[in-house]
Amino acid sequence: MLVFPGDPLPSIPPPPKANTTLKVGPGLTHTPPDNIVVHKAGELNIDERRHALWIEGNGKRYIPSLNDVVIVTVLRSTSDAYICTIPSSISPAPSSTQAMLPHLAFPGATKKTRPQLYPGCTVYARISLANKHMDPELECYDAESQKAEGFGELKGGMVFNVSLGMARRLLGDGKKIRQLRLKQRKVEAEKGGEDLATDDEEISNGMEVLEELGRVLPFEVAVGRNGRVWVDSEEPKVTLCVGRCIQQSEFLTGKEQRALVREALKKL
Amino acid sequence: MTIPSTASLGFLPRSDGSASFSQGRTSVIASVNGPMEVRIRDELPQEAYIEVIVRPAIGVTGTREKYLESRLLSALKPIILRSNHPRTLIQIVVQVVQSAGSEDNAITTLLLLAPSLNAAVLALLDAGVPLKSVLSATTVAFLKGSGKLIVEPELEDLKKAASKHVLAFTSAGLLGFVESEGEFEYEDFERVVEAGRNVCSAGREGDDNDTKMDTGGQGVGELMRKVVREKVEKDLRWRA
Repeated sequence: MLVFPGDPLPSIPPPPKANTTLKVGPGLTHTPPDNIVVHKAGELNIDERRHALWIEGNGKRYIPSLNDVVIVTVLRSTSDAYICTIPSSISPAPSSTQAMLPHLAFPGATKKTRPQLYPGCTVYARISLANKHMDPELECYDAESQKAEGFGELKGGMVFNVSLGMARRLLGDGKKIRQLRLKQRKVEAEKGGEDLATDDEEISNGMEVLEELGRVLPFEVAVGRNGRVWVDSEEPKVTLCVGRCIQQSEFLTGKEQRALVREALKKL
Repeated sequence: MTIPSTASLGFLPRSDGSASFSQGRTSVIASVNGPMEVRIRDELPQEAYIEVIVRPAIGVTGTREKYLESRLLSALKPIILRSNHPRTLIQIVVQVVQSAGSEDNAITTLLLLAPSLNAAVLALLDAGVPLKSVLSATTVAFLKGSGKLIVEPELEDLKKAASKHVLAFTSAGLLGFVESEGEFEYEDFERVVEAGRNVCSAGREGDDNDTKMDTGGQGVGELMRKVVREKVEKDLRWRA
């Protein structure tokens, strides 16, 4: 269902269990005590099981939020932190958000063993503090395991720009929406008393392009929620091929993405 | 013969949001950037600073552009949820592409107001800036002798009109902005508002749109909803 700012929300289904708090996601603003306002144009999603609602849209400007993985660029180093910039998906990043990456926010880092980063370095990091009143802070280790888990400096490779929606899909959000859709269809079919042919291929998860490329080519990829994709491989032409395929599959369905990759591989 | 209004969305790759809108012989482009870093002297601790810049089709910025900027700002400021992004800047740039008349008078300026406002709102929607509601604007001319109302008038109609009004409505049909010029009675103004509301207020999703159709084609509100819907559908096309 498509909603516009100021539109009234449809009645929210009651929570599955008592005492479940309603989760209000992106695109909606809660004004106390119990008023929820749509503030963005997009598709309204309601997950009854998790008692959550949010608006699915697309954008170019990234706004930091807690625990998002991002690809940042180091600007300079101070006595105890690196000052980084979180670029958005539009290519030049003027006036984009600045963030702090403490020198000790790396796995097992001490004052003597911290990794040396220089201005211009590309770093894969997680947002550890996001607040509309303060500048965000970053960390380069996983919150649970305290290990690197892929975070840290991205050496070599190349960074490609994609839209924020595409970045979310590449990180697997599309899969979650697909599961939600399949479940909703099932419920609807049961209501109508029809038999639903479970056709998994019908709804795309939005990242067929990566799955298909990964089956054939050896490459490394890191996706930041700020609309940046870092790709590295042995050969520059593979890196370029992967990056271009990702950029071109923005508006393509699963089937079309597979076809695009097949064509690209033929040319390679 | 009237030229139908047109609008398009998201064609400037380097800005966060962009839109074009043309009404009659007037055509404008708007781009929105933000929320982004703000100049220190403009920084507001509790809310976003909103900057509106109007660029003329020919020549340099003058009083007429400054007037348009102040009007647009007063219309847009209340609908933007500024408190969601404190200490940031939301920049709205309106570039006039084509103006109805070449002479630099108050009438052509008034004709620019409604398309500029529509383009700015569409660009804000495209950029995903948090909004409280969507405004759609139109111009209404009131002819004194006959008492006739002309919605979306041409330059010639405006020259004959006793009073000219630019009105903007939310999608719920609430009056959000008025700019009037000339002499008129209150009763006439009420008729003007009613005529403007018919064109501007859009049928909600799922509403019966049949009643709107007999106003003669597509209203501004419906047009704006249509282009945004097309954009969202394109963005979500991968799922199909």
